[in-house]
Amino acid sequence: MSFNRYKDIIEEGDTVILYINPQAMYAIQVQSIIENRKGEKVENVMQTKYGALKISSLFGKQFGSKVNLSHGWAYVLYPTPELWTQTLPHRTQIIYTPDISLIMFMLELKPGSIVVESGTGSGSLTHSMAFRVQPTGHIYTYDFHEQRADQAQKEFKSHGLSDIVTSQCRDVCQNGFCDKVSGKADAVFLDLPHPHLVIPFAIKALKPSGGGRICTFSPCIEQVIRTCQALQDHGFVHLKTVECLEKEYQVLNRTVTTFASASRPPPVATGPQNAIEPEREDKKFVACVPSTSPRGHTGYLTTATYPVENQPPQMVKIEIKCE
Amino acid sequence: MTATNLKNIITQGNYLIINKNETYLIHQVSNKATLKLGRDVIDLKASIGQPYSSTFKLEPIPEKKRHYTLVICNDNQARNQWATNGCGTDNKLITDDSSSQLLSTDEIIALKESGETGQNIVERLLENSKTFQLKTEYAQEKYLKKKARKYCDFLTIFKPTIRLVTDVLYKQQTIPKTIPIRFDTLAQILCRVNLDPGGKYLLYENGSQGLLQASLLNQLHDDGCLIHIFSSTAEQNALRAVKAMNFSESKMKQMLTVSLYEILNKRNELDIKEEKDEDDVPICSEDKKRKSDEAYIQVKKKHRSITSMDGLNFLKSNKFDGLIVVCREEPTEIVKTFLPYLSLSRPFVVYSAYREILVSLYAEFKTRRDVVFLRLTDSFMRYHQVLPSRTHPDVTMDNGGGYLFSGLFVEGTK
Ligand SMILES: C[S@@+](CC[C@H](N)C(=O)[O-])C[C@H]1O[C@@H](n2cnc3c(N)ncnc32)[C@H](O)[C@@H]1O
Repeated sequence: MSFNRYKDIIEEGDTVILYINPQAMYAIQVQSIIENRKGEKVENVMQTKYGALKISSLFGKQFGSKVNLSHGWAYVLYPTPELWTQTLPHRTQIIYTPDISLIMFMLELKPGSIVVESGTGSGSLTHSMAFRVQPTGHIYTYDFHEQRADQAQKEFKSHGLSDIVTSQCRDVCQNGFCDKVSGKADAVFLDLPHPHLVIPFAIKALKPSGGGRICTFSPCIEQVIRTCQALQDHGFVHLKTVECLEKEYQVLNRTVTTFASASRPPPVATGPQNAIEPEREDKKFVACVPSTSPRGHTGYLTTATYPVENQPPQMVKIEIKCE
Repeated sequence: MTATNLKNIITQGNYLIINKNETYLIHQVSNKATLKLGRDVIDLKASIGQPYSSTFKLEPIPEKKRHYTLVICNDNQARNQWATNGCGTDNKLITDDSSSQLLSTDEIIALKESGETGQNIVERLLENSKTFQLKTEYAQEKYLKKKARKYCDFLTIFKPTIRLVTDVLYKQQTIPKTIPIRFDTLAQILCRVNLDPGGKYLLYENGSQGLLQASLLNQLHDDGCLIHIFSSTAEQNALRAVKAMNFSESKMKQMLTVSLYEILNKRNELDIKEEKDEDDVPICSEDKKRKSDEAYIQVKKKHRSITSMDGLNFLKSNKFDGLIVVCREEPTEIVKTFLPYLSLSRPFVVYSAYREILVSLYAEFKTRRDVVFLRLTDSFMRYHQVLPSRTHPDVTMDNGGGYLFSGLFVEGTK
């Protein structure tokens, strides 16, 4: 199926997100028949907390429909990059949506942008970027881990992203990016342990006309310090390092005992069993409660711009006259 | 020279982002091409025809107090740099009295008005400082940074991008008159609504100076479409951000504008009309055409939105891929009105500067059967100073990111 265009009706081979609640979401491949451990072809039935779901029952349903489980219900949702990030199979640490949104914003991605990324990891960020730059843009993504690069490549293909994403196995710290991207990129993104070693290669990849953007994601401040030093040494400007954590709130109906109830005389312990308890006056209210253990750190995002290269000022003017 | 190259050239009539040290501003190059910056008057003519992201040196015009022309200077090495001559190891010898600078304020102003470059003025300030040599290396760096802010001889001209426009506007907006949208909040909105470049989006915006329209348009490919629903209480300068982006005419036509009033009042009228007699349509189609062109012209000339009939019809006959509500008014009814215009499994996102507003919206939506994945969030965002041996979070934070409420529209229970 195609991850890059909304579709309405679920068909064999699609990926759907089974939504039970925000803590229970699963990406499922819509395949009516699968092989069991013994290699026999059997009907595909998924087990959930609320009972079984026969996958073939999803055919022809609209994305966004409610489906019945044997002991409850769920919704089948279209796999947006955000939902994919929440449900994808982890092969590495991944970048989550709050950071992804900032990365794409600070790299100024839009349809047509050419992006160079390393490492690919689990492809969480790659999926989001591909969605954002389509249909005319392209993501070139590199990972030095052969199996991971391979798996990612297969995933992009099965998600219909082959026209937008090129994935390759390559050690970018040693060998830089492919020659075919030289001078083509609008943006470079790095999420690997030694981003500072890749800065010179990033310059080669960025468009020579200047104004190209770079962003690095590093969990540790030591990496950030080395990266900033390297960026400065190589002439990048407008360095910014930022961290951003999303805080989520629950909205709940709650009640509290009032002052009046609390200040009543205590009930007499020796009284008759069926003495009528004075009615309690509780106050009902809507509470806004922050999550109890939110993520306290993900990574620092460092961004910078590659300035326009030195060029004799007249050159450009003459060219305009030729127009 | 190709068209794409031309797009990267500073052109008369275009909006630019002008950056001088730490100030950024949006500026349209007029015929006269002058820019007032504080008490300085800068002639921008020399920048026209140069590529964006170029840096220029300010050359004082002799005989004209505080007037400058630009000379292109993309050589990074030529930027303001001041030689220091040794430094102290700590600040124990430095006593804080106002006599450390030997030049008087009047003398400094006179220097500036005589057409002296910032480079030379700071050099004179350093020569005449009793304490500069005693300061530690770090303190000297800080001092020079402060002086550079005031006496910088260079400015850079950028092509407006959503990132730059967002930052400029954010600093200028104040609640409750207008709404300052911080860059990370805008970034989240674009992700929450799962922006598909070829999608159809419904936006209710009032108070962001057009930042939402501009960023959605910027993210749309040629086949994408945006309906902007506007309120009758729209602000002054409601399309500032849209204008700042120098969008092409065809890009602007991807946005149709419709007033909330007309949707609510004409919706029924149109339905009835269509049912009663179809002949009515051809008569007003000429009118429709005129009106939709008018909408575009209005945006360009009057900077004010008017309802286009195309927009109204489009709204009536389409299902949308996302709903965004960013406004000063109470959003509950707005969200409830437009939610049914979404296709299933599509997101909506609502911004408010006030958490209370979204809490009550959330409480109400929890009882609905046709929305899932409800989330109320804000963000903790801070910058870090990264310098050798002096890396730490910035000492002040910005708490103005506001709140977002979002969810997905799904099949309601029958
Ligand atoms: C944390 S993961 C990236 C996760 C990814 N951003 C995502 O959102 O799914 C880091 C990846 O960088 C790869 N990597 C590390 N060093 C590399 C190098 N020198 N060249 C290419 N890839 C490298 C690792 O194999 C790993 O898969």
